[in-house]
Amino acid sequence: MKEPTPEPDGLVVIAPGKPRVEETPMARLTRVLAVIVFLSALVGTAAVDLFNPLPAPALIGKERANFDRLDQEARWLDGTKARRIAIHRRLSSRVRGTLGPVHAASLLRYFHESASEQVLVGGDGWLFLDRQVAGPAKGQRRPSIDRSAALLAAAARRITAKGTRFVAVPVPRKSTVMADLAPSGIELFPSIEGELLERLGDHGVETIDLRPMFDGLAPHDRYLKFDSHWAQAARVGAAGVMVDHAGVRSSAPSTRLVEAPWLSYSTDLLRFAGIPDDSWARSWLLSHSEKTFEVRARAPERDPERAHEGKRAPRPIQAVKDRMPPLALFGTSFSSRLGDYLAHFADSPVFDGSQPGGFFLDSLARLRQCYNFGAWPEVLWYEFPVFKALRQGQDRNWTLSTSQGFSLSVLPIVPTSPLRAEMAPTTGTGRLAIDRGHLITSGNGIAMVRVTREGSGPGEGLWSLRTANLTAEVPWHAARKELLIPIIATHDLGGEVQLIAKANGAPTMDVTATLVTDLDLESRSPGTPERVRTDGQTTQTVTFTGVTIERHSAIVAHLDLGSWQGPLELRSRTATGSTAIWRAEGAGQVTIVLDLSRHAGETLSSFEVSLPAGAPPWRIDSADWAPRLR
Amino acid sequence: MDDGGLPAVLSSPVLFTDAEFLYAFLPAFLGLYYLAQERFRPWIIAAFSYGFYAWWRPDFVILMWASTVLDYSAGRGIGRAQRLATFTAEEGARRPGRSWVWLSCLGNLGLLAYFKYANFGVDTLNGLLAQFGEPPVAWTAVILPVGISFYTFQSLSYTVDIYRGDAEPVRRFRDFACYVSMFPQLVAGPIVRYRSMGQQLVERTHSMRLFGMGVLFFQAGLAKKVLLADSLAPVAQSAFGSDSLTTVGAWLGALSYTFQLYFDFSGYSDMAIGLGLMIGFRFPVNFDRPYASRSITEFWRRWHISLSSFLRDYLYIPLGGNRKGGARTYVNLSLTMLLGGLWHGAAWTFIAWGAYQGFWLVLERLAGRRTLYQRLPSALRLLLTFLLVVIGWVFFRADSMAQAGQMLASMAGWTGSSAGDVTISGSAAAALAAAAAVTWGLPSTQALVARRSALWMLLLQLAFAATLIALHSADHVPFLYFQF
Repeated sequence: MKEPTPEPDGLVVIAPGKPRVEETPMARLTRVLAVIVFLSALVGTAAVDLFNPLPAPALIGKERANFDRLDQEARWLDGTKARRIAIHRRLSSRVRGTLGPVHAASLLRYFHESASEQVLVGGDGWLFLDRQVAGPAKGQRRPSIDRSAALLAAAARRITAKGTRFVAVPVPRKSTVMADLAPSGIELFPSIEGELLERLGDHGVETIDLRPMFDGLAPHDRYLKFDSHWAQAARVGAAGVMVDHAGVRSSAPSTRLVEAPWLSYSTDLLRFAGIPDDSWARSWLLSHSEKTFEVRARAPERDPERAHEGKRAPRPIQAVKDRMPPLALFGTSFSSRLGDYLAHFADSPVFDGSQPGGFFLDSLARLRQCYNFGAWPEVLWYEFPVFKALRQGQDRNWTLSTSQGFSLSVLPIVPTSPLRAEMAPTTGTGRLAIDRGHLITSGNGIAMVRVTREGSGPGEGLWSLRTANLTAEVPWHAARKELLIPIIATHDLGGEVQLIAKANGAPTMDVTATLVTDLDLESRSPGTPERVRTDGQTTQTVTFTGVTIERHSAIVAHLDLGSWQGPLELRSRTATGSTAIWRAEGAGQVTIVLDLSRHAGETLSSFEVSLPAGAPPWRIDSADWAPRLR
Repeated sequence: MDDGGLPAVLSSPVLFTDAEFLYAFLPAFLGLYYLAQERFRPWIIAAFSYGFYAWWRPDFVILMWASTVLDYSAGRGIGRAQRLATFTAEEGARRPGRSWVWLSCLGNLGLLAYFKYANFGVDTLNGLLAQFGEPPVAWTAVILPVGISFYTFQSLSYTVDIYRGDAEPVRRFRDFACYVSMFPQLVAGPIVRYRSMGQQLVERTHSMRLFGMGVLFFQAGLAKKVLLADSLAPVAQSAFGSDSLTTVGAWLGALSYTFQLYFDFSGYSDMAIGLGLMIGFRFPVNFDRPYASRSITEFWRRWHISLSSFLRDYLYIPLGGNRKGGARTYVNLSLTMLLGGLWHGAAWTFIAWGAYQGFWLVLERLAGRRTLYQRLPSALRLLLTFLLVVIGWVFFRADSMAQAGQMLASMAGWTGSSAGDVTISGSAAAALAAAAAVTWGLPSTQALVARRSALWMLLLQLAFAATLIALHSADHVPFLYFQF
């Protein structure tokens, strides 16, 4: 084709009044059509988004606070305001909300590609959530399961001590049981499931390996094609394996398990891939080949067509405090209805304490609350997806709840917001000059602060830590350069945590405050029965054996002080008789971290808590050993 | 460089593909422009252009404003000096207004030197100091203002053109502010010279036909960018981000980048030309099917034409061009290409790319027209030229000379392992095939628009619809030439 000749200076040749080609009426009409299409698309989209926007995203809690904070901090000068406007427009654009899924669905259907990096597409269009495939760093580094296994073992030991049979049921990852359909180019680490089971076994934890059960199922019965969760057929299979393992299967269940095609199933990965639940573009992809099951009360109908008319069996979690079922299922929302199936096969109520989201041990937080007033369960199945155990060790905010004795290993020592001072930092970030009596606060109250002293001045004095229910004083000797101060709370304290410098002699002291981000714990047994000391105090002791103290070794203790509010004394003793004493004030349930650096090089023998005689009933829920605070 | 291949900046400028531009800025601008009286239109263009630029970093508008004021004043000064000189002309006297040109050059090139090359200079110096065990020079990195290379060149061309007598000084400041800041070509060209815009700023025609042509240009450019360039971006990104590639993977990455760059930049140029036509301006053609070239010399007549002609007229010819003998011609050519490479970015890779291009230009000039190469079949010459261009883009895209070397080694077959090899998705493979088909099977956008074929225009509407749907889905990639 002959190219048009450029004009001088290379200007486009479509000069007004100089048509090189005669325009046909059809071409003219099409050109007008192009203008109409163009302007309609622009103005139409603008109008729809302006007058009929999507509702604001339903953010709650920290997510909401973070979103609002970014809005407030946005400035025109550095372009952040423009970015926030763009984000708000994207979130509220109805046209985007309607057309975006069409593109995402087209990509998925015709190219087997995902519009989102979160979702990986495997063989035959099967979807996988990237963070579930190989844990924290997709294909980059081998995730560790050591710490997860140790944490679970710590919890298991405590539960077993109550006379309960604890059975860990790790659910293999989708990428492991669907390996032939897993996305290519990604390191799957298929041996992790086996290693986790092996490691738990080494710790003495009873486990169930679900992999053989999965192997016996058809692909659609293992996991859902467009969902991150395992299929209900697999849950039914797993329930059978679990009751058989525990030896509680009923030969003649009074309920029946029916296939329930009327029940919907989840497709969360389509949502992650940019195709929301209410988008009609979903219909291009769904084949409805997944099976759903329901436990029903009455005997099977003869006419299968009328099966759904049977009354649904009562959910097994209707137990009351004094009649808790002897069988219990705890775990994650990864396995909804698993409790129903267990109850069906065992023909016995199963307490379902599964808890959605969060850390893989979070649901244990409910255990003590639920069984506080009655007998502990005979069998406790603890189900969790293996990928959640792989996330252990990542930087995330794990909330420590001190109201139960089982999650103490889950220490939340990740910065949730920067430390604030009443005065501005002197230099750099994180360095605070704290005047005598001034405060620094942690925004969310969940942190452990490492304070490093720099600069001159004797700096002798007491640093006291106050939270809503605990006040502890930490001595800072002149020779000391570093201090670890725990700030641990059961809830979002929102500024209630205060670290107070009461330095004597030195009016100011430059310190660097950083947040400690990790803590390895080894579990020990709860305190011994209360005994009365000669000085009139009542004391409980936790005995340690074979524990060598290093610099920044620590004890993490959970105390349930009942209705007591007042002073308490904490003592650590070594094999040589060396004793360190801390005094604090507390109320209710508190967690205390004791830095044992002063005993470095010695062997720890015991940890004691003493309250004045006459204090109402109280106890050491647990005391754990942390080889080193980092 | 960040993931997108762009230097790390605090925020992105408004892109023509941004929803904020398409659904807010552009309708508002066009509405106001056509509702306003003609005398207010330059103000509207200038105001919207400053808003367009301020969206990225409001403080950098001051920089553009300073450049505008400087060159406007210099232009007036040169004009005044030349008018005075007509009464006092002496034989052999130097051209009047020289000092104003120097001031303009110093101002504009000084801005460019500081914002674009200071970091590079300090890094290079620190590298040298480190070799001798000396402590590095303390330096806070300077943020590169988007489009500074384009608007300083445009602004500079104004004073030089007046000085040379190729253009008259602008009479109204608003027209000059409008010329420097005009948003369609502000941040990534085409580089519009004042002499071709001066008259249009004062007087231009608006018509439905012209507007329609502008829409077609814009739609074509948008489709090139979103459907082709952005689909290829992940493949190029993954290849140039990998430590070990197979030969196939390396070529796949290099080819993807070759097409990505072309469709990204020519797409942007088409959109700029289209926007200009919508408001009655004719901008220079910037691309003329460069990958259909049969030699590197021809390639440079077809690639980024507004830059290559700028370098020719304001650098190569003032250096002496081909008027001072063979050796000097080759030196001038090499120097021009080296500086052209450096204009693209302050990095050794760009200098290497400029040197590479200069080498081939000199070689072709040395060989002359009657060579064995010229007797090869046309298709083979096209293929060879394309291969040379692809190799050149490896330097252009690589983050470092080491990475460029690694990539070229993989392309040559010296490959380590396939651990980090490139995988190409279905949509990227389709985009690659479509890109090749458009590159060699279709005429340029300008030719297609000039053809006025109803079928082509209808097909373009389908592509436009697909583009909008794609735009509403995932995040899109910034225009590559914003970094220059």
